[in-house]
Amino acid sequence: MVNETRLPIWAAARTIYTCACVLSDSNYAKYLAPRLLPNYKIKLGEGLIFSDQQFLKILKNGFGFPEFKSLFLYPYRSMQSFKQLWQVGKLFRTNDSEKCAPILLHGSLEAICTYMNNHRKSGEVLEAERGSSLAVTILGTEEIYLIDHESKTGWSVSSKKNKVFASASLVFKNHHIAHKASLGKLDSWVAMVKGDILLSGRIPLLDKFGYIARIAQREVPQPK
Amino acid sequence: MNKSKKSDLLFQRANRVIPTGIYGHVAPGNGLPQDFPHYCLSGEGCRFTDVDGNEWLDFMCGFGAVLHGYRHPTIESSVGLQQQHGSVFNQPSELMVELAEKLVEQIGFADWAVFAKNGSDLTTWAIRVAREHCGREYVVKAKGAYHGVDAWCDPGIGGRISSDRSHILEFEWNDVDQLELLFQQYDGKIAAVILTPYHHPSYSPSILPADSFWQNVENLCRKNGTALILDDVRCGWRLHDEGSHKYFGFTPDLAIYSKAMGNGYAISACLGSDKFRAGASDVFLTGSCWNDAYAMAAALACLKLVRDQQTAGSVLQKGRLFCARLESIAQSHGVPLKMTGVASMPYPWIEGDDDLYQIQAFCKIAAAYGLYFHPHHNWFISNAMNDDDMEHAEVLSNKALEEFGNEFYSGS
Repeated sequence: MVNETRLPIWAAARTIYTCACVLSDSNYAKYLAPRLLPNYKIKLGEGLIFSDQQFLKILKNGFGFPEFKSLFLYPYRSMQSFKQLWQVGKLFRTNDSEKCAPILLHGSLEAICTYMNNHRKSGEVLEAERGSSLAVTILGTEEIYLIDHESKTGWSVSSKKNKVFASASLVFKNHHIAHKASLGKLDSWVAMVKGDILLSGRIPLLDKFGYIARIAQREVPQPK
Repeated sequence: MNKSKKSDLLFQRANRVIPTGIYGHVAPGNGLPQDFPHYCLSGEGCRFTDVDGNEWLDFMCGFGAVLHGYRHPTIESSVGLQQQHGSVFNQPSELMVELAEKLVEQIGFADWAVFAKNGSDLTTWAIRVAREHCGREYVVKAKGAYHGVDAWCDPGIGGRISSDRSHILEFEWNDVDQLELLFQQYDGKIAAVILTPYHHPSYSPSILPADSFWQNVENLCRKNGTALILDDVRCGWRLHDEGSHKYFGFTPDLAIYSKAMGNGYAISACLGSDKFRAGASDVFLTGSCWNDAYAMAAALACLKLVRDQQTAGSVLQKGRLFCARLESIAQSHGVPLKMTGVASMPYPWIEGDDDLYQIQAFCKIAAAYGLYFHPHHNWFISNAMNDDDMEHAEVLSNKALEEFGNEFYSGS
């Protein structure tokens, strides 16, 4: 379990890492793989180390200072990390929903999963749901983001191309809606009524997921 | 039935000034947000019209608050008479005394009654009365049962602290051994057991009490000096004209009524035996409009109707006919639909549909035919439903089930 005071930063780092993985079309983006260090520091990849505060500045202002020691010791890796950070940051600024919505959606679901695993209240809310799963899709696309639970890894999101059965389903009407939702700019209540998002299956699971998603949305800073 | 323009626009207006637009059990996510209307214009008998002018054949009855049909003439005229005098004064009207007398007369075990506006007001008050009477802290309820919006029992997630439920214990409905174990574990500490007449949770089939369940619960309560509280808010006057405990053959110490009691006029009552009178006298109770004479006039008219028309028997009979027909129509289309619970407030369940995809799909199709069938909540049979309405409902249900069967069960 991650210390709850550091959870927003950890979830943001997980989001960035997930987006980088999708961007690089692999399961591993080695220059951004995050690790929380003691003393309120966070390490990206094998080189770059930020204090939590400086990492927050990167997210909020687009720039923060890493520890100089890490820069000097691993200049190449650090530059690669910065380059990937910039590439992911660009996703949060573009209006090209077709391109960025699937990546940002995957990233934002990762942030929610991080909360599902580490946020005390969220864990309590989901206690009875460990056998359940949730499929998230964008209408008209093949990709299915499946959120499910395994005892070893906890809640996780994975991308599937084949049809999967899930206890509940959340469908975004199009890329634009998914894009807005990923950036926390979608009013889900109005979206439900307008048919911009379609919910079906086990509604109590969706209720719980929505509750945790709103907490994550409020707390996790988005990269600029 | 696809016109929902005004309803949707109203929702968007509402969402700006009301968190989530509409809340509680009619919040968009809890029903079928694209198929059900969000706002109503009027109602008559067993039908209502939404703000877009669509007419619906209603199987939810204001989520149970209306038993005799919308705008029942006898009830409306009683309210109309009281309107010549006024609704809320500094002191209650004479109607309050009359209503308490009538209730005590009709509900056999009761010696007194108090009034409020909603079920929750009095389920919470009743457990406090039990605590005061017994001098104990713990309350037992059935897992998944709904008893209102207060923090000790609400089904929501937010705004709760750990102490809210630190003195609430739960057991699985019908599992008397589990209840007995709780009595052993919390010996001398349980103030009350609060239960609905049968188990009618949302999102899952209703469960009737097993043979001798109520006798066992009653015996355990008596043996342990614990109050037996009946939450008859939803079932009241739908199972038995003299309270649902009569239907299942047991005697509670305290019972709470609301919903059908005022046929749409907000009122609730807690009735109790003499043994609990002292406790009731020492637990504070009031409310802004608690002595609302319009609602009391409506409740008096309802009580008279219930007695004159034997309403509970009537809605049970209508429900039995409708449920049997619906199951049979479903079967003819290969759909394994079962109407669970008590026939006057049945819960629809499609076998094997544990995640509810099919019942949602069926209710969506039914909505397109103007049938207000809820996929997640028990339905309510209106006593205003006559043979023609039933027949009409069956014709529409047949179309909906045929369409649904073709989509989901065509190969079976």
